[in-house]
Amino acid sequence: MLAACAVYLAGQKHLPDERPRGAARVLHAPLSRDEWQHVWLVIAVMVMTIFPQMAYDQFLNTGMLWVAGHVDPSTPFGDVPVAWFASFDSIICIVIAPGLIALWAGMARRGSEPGDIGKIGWRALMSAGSGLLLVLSAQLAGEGRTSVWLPMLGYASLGISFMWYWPILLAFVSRNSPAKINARLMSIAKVGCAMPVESASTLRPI
Amino acid sequence: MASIVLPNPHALIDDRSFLGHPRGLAYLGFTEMWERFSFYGMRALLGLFMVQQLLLPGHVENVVGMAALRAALESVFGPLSAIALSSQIFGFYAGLVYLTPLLGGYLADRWLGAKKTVLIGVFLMTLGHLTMVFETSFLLALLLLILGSGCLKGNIAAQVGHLYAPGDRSRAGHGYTIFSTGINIGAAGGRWYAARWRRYTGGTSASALRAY
Repeated sequence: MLAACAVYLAGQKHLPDERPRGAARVLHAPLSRDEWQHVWLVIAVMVMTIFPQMAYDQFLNTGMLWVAGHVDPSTPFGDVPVAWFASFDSIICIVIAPGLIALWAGMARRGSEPGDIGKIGWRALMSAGSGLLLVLSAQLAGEGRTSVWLPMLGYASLGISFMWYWPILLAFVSRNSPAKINARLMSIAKVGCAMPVESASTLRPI
Repeated sequence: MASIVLPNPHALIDDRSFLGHPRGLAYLGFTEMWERFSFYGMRALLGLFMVQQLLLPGHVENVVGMAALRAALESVFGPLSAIALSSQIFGFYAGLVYLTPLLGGYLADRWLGAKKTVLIGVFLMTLGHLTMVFETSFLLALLLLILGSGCLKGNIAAQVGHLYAPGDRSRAGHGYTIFSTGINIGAAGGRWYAARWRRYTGGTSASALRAY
């Protein structure tokens, strides 16, 4: 944590300065009608993202139990420990980031980069596709244990899908939130990402 | 409520010295990376540390406030074993870490601004990790981490958005992708380090926890 502290202190002059406006009248000014519309838009998009996020968390929750009970971990290179499945998504997130940025930058130059909502929609489709890969894997295996490859592909594509959602949602909320409540809405977005974890836990026994 | 005040707005917004993005993004990304490294690494060991050491006789008596906390929890949930008590403490810690950012956001919006609130958060979290070195101050350490996380979490993400002009939609999205990658590296690295520490150095959860 000392490293984080040192880096943040070193970067002070490169960060936008902020200070309260001071005047109580402005400080407590209510949101305008237009600002409220932006707030509702941001909240609506956040709510939409909760459902694919629940699927994501189910992968890391119930999905891990399924992997432990129904996947044959053996490969020609040795057994794949169950815990590795939970690591795939974060490793994939890191590995694909440069390629993803290059892809989007190229699309932006051609004027074909999807908008924020479009990207978040693609994420929902990719999450569903990842789930279908597990279903397909289970169906192909029948009563026996399924091969490790399709589930691994499912978890990897889940990691890719995360990068089409989380940074995009943060950018969307940051840009569309009224300045008066920008930090609060960013915090709500952060909480919203964690909430489905609890929902996933609730769904598991069903 | 806070306004963004730039000494020279164009200099910051037009800056492309870090992978085509403002240099501030590097500082925010690396701050979050190290913060997540500490947070997830420490969290991975917290439960083990409590069950294997802190809540055992000979240690638990040293923790300031633990007797009162235990009494309060047991008045609600009934008698608690060491494992059950550790689970309750962990649950409250994890829950509050995700709820306090709402207060941190309010503090930034109304009074301090994101930059200053994040600075407070960084100091509180550093102090939290340092006080975790001592058994006596374990609960104080958790409190400092909860408050620090509340000041830092949402506000540092808001700061990334302040680096870009309002119309620079595409570049801001890419900037957040870089920022999130820092978070992912820190989270994965923190857990990896925790596992390696225990496996290869023979270190206890307590010693690893203190390393964060």
